[in-house]
Order: sequence, then structure tokens, then C-alpha cells
Amino acid sequence: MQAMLALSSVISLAGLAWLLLWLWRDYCIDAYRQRLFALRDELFDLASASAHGLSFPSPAYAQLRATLNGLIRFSSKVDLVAIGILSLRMRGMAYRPAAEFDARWARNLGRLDAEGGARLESLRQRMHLATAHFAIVSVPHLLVLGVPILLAFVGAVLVRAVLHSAVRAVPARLSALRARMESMYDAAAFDEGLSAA
Amino acid sequence: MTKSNKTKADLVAENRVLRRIDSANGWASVLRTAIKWGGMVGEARYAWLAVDSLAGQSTVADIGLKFLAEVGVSDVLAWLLAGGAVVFGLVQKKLRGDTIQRLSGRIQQLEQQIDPRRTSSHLTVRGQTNPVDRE
Repeated sequence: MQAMLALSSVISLAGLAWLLLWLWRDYCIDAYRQRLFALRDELFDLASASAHGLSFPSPAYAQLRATLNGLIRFSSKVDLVAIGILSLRMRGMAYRPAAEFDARWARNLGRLDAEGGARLESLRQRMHLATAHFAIVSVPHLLVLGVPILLAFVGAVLVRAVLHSAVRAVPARLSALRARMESMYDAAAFDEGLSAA
Repeated sequence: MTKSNKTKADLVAENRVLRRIDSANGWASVLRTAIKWGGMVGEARYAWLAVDSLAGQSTVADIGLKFLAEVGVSDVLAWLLAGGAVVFGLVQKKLRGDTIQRLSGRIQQLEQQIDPRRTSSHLTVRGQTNPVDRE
């Protein structure tokens, strides 16, 4: 019985390692790319309909498509660890391309009508949602470590906010942090999308 | 495309940011690899402990014979189910790659007829990460 247990444990451990460390991540990358391709197709169809001021030569179309292309291309480099380390390393630094990206995005959306702008903004939000989902679920072994780190980070933010008597500013701070990270990633993906073009 | 007249201070600041991003990517890559292979080492240790618990009690031939003798129908069924699921997944993955390879060229061609300036994500024809973009 002991021999049976030992051998099946060894084989199961090897299989689990293969599943968690290689197959799962590959599947998540494929699924994430699939979501982004679906968003890119939706964008293409919107431009193809030439409605709401949106068409293929529209700068808003080119900007969002290049961003999606950048994310699709480099999705193998996105995960919870990369985002966490990047946010720590970039803390307190002004990232000019992110500000430029946001300014350009606002300018480009302004050239569309209200519904066109809302549709593109919705596509961008869904792109962020897909990216956040992918970053979290694609690394199950890191999730075990990431949750305590995330809790520690949230705890540190809360303690700092309390110390500065700024509890009311927490949602705004978290929202600003989220917006900052989103813009930073979008700008980086946009540059990669342009270089891929 | 995003070229603009940047001052020296702008370029220095941008360079500093880019170096930080590069260093963050480097650290992330090191941490990711350390956790992945650390996990493998941990699993290898437990696999070794499982085998080591039999040391001095049996020969390899004994273990093989006992293993075969103790394998029940439910064990065989469980292994068949697990192995079958893995093979099914791999075959589906290959089929998906084949389908992408078959359709991607056509989609690209049709979209290019509508939008001649169509841009690409530069994945391979099977929808995988381009080798030049790998870490």
C-alpha cells in the first residue's frame, strides 16, 4: 500500500506542477487574447459602420486598436507580480506618456459624438477589466502569495490614510491609483502597438 | 508617430522612467522564475520524501510488483480519467491552433480590403507569442 501511495503521489505532484506552472498560464494567455481579439473585432465593426463620427482613419480608432494590439502582443509579460512591482517602482514618479495618452484619448473622443465616445470608453473599460482578471487568475501559485501582499498593501494604504486623517480620501486615492495604473499600461501597450504596426 | 520637441530635462526624466520600468520588468521576471522553480524544487522534495520512505524496505522490483498488485479498478479508472482529460485538452489546443492558422490569413486579407492601413498584433500564424517577444 505504501509503494502505491508513494508512486501515485510522485506522479500526481509532477502532473500538478505541469498543470499549474505551465498549462494553466498558457490557457489563461489564450483566453485573455481571445477576449482582446473579440474587443478588437467589435471596434473594427464599429469603425466599419462609419457611425457616431468613428471610421478607420479616426485617431480614436487608431489609438484604441494600437493599445489592444500592444496588450495582445505582450500579454505573456503581464501578471500580478509585474503590475505590483511596476506600481511600487513608479510610486511618486510622473509618467509623461501616461498623461499624454490620456490627453490624446480625451481629445480623440471629443471628435466623436456622445454615443461613439461612450461606446469606445466602454470598450476601453472592458479591456481593463479583462486585463485585471487575467493578471489575477493567470498565476494561481502567486495568488497564494499575492493575496497576503495585496492585503498588506491595502492595510498600509489604510493606515497611512488614517494617520493623515484622510479616511474620506481613500476611495479617491484608490481610484486615482487605478486610473494611474490603467493609463500607464495603456500608454505602454499603445507604444508597443505602434511599434508592432 | 509620437515624436515631439522634447527638452533635455524631458528626455532625462523620460529616460529615468523607462529605466525604472525596465528594472521593474527585470525584477518581475526574476521573481516569477524564482517562484516557479522554487515551487518545482519544493515539489521535488516531497516527491523524494515519498520515495525515500520506502528506502530499505523494498527493492525497485518489489515496489513495481506491489504497485501492480495493489492497483484496483477504481485507481485505473481515476488515472484513465486524468490522463484522458490531459490528452483531450492537448488535442483541443492543437485543433484551436490549426483553426487559427486556417482562418487568420483569410480574416487579415478580408479586413485589409476594408481597412488598407489595418495594424497587427504580430502573433504567430497559430496565435502564439512571437519568438522575438519572448522573455
